[in-house]
Amino acid sequence: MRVDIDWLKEFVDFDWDLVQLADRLTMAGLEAYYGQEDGIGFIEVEITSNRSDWLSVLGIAREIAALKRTQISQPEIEQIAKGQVDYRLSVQEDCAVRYFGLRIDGVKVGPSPEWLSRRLRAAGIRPINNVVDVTNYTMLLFGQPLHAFDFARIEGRELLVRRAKKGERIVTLDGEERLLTPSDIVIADSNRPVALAGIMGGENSEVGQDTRFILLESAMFPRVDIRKTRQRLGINTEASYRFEREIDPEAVERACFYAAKLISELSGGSILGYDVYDKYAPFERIISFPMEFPLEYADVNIPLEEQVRILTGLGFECDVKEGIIDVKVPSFRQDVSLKEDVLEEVLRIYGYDKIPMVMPGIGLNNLRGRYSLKERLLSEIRCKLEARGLSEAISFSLISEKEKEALSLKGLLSVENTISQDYLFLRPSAISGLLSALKTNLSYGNKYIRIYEISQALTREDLCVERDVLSILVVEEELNAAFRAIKQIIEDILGFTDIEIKKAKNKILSSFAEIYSNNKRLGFFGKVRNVVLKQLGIKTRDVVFYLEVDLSELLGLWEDRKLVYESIPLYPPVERDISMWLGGRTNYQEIVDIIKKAGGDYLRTIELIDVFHSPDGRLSYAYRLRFYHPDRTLKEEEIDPDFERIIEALKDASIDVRAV
Amino acid sequence: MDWKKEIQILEETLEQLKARYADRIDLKTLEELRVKFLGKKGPIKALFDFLKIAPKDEKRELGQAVNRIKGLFESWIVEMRQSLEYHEEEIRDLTVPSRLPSLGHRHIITQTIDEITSVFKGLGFAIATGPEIEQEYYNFTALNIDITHPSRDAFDTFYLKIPPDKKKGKFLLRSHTSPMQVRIMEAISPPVAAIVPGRVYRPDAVDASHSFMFHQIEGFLVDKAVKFSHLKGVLLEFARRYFYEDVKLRFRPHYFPFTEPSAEVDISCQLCKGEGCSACKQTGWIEVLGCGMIHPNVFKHLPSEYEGYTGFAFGMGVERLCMLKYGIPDIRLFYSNDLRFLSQF
Repeated sequence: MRVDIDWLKEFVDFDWDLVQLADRLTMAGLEAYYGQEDGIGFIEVEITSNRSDWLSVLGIAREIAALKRTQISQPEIEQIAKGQVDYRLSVQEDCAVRYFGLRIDGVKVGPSPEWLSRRLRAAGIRPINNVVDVTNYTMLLFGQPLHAFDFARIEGRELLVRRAKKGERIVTLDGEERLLTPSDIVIADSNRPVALAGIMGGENSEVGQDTRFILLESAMFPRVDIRKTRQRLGINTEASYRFEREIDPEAVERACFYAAKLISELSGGSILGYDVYDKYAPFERIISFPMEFPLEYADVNIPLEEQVRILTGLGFECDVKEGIIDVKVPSFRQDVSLKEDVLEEVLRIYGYDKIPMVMPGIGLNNLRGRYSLKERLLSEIRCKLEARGLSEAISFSLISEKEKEALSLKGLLSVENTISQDYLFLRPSAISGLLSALKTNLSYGNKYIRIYEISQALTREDLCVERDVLSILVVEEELNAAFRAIKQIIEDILGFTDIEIKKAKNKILSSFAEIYSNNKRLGFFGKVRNVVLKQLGIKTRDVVFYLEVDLSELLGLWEDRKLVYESIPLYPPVERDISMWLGGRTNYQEIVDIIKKAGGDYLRTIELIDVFHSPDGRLSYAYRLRFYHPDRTLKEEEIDPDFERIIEALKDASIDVRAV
Repeated sequence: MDWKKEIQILEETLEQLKARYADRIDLKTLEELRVKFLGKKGPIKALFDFLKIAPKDEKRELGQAVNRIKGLFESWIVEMRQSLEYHEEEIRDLTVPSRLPSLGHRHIITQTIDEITSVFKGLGFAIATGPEIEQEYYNFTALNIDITHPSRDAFDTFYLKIPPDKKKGKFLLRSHTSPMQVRIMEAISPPVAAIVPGRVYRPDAVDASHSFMFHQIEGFLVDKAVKFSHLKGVLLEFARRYFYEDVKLRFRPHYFPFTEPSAEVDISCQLCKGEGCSACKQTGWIEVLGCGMIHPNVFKHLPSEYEGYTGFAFGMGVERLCMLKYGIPDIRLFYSNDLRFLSQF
């Protein structure tokens, strides 16, 4: 809201310039900017959502008054007698709390005087005529939205505040036709709605040049209903903005009388009287506020008189006895309901900057254990991955239908209120994000694409549960290189536990395998199939390998792991190399198992030192075996029997030993 | 024999040798030179021979000169031999690039979270994380956010298309990390001091300064007699360690439903020291976080063992701090995962 300085000065005396004023208000919690127009200074304030009283000149003036430790002077209001009115007012249950309908006759509609138009323009409201302008002017002053009907156009001399009927329509003042539902509140005459309550008037009862008879509305509508209708119809008006934040119920009457008086002054009409519906029970709230509370809760000693002056300036009435201030909350400050609320009022006007800065002595923190373990595990994994050249990606946790289809993801959760078709489904892991990152990086010609992401599994099984998933993507030129790179990473991060890798089938990944430990599935990996890459528009001739690890499972294993020292051989080893052709389905591990079994007590390590593909398509592995004695240096010939046994065992298993 | 001339020639020869072999000499040449000058048939030996027959009055002077020149040759030979022993091949071009691939880079968001949380760890806080799929109760109700009030507009939320829970309401993607205040305190007895980083979601269209997914860090401390002054103290200590040593803080009153009193915190602009510049939009201050004393209505939702306790809470947007600190102009860069961006940090 924007307001002229001279208008504020009608109600509060201050000598600050614009810069000081904006600064003082901002530091009291009312964010203010300043400027000048037509040589007159103004300030523009941005309110917080709890302070609808700031949406008025009087509200801002009160803030300044409290900062100056003074009080505002109230605008002059003349009581108006109820009198006799020539229409019937009825209000349906729950459609309004208060409703004043005041009649003015014989107005002459014309332009408003310049002083009034200017103040409206300064506030960003277009001047229309001397009736409508007064309603807006009064709204700016009190924060109470008002509406003027052309009484001659109200049919049946009847005004009804009621729920809209299903299918009922109204053309609002902006020229739009609105289809209404029974959750909307309307003002209607005997035939049709004439205004959308608390939001906008209807065209059919608009005040125009020829209007002679006025019905002035000042009311309080239930804020939740106004908000619902406003949201559904997508109309945002000065009135709805105030109503949905709650207005001052006690300003309804005052604003009505003030506006009536001003209309009759400016347009020469005479006030007939008013009818009223009033279900407002005067607001009463007294909060006991110990004067020591600022000291107890903020380490700041504010003299009692100072506290009282601040609160009085803000419009609270104070009654002090025995160190307690009984704070009477005014109707326009219903946001204040606890002593902590009162404290905020005192502190913010006194100045947050006067509160000292103190380091607390933190008691024994009871939050520890699993979280810190998880943090350590994640940090260790991150370090290892980065050492292997993987960079961390962070990608959106919502994915599109296309990604969902390409990755054959089923049973995904989706969001109700989506912002874009690209972000529709909650993803179980970051595979989609990493593939999208791959696409981005390929398009920029970036090399050495190795990325990882740690994200939460957002699935039906994990509602309100935190299950972290590690996703890894490695790009290599050739299949075996990619596999060995992934395997190295698996050993890096899962090496602390015994794992088993089992081949399986998968629609998305080829060379697919699952990783188990103690029969728990820790994760899986494989090459992203070309058909999947193609569907996602990723063009590359390289091999894209993907690995996924369930970090929550891993954390359990990591927690239970036992690190126990194992003695290091003190004496040098005897080494023997052995190479063999791999027949049939034999693999690296089987051979290791045979060697281990036959090897004897001295055999300590078995290492793959060479892989040879012969021109005729056969595959050969060469192993290096190391034999140690715990207490002395072994002699070469001492291990001959062990080595013979190993060779025999391999031969027994029909393995073709090439060379020893 | 004009021995003075001979000595002078030898001195000059030595200088020439030193110049010529300054960089490099091989062992063979060095040995040849040694034999040539210091050997039995060399000029120095000849001078020693002459010394025996030289006139008596010249002997002393000649003796000194010959010994000196011999010493000079010998020490040069020793020096050259030593330099030969230490000689190895050297890298010719130190500007050549390192081997690829180099180390991977941790995302700057994670680095920022690590940096901030480690400051709080140093102050006695413990790190916790929580679920991104939340419920209305934790995201709103328990935090004193009235779903019917416009204050909720600031917390626009992605709701999930699944039936709500009878007690805790609709499922949603958390719109802030604050629900963890309640979750942690439901599970853990006071006192507690936690720092909670994580992803949060709000249905904003993605542009240079908005994203529907971003990161927040929530922190809170609950103990006996925790005061507003403690909140200020802890945040100042944090700002000194994270931003810069002589940083100043400005607490502006503000409104958050879950704290009372509440404040927004600005730090003095490091670039202009409060004078006003483009980084701080000429104000000298930069807004960095929101905070306040935990609202009594939040305590009402906590187990009864929290009666008599008070606390403060604060929250900050990680992307925003990151953008400020490193001059990153567009929030979308964080989620592009372009290695040219990632590898800058």
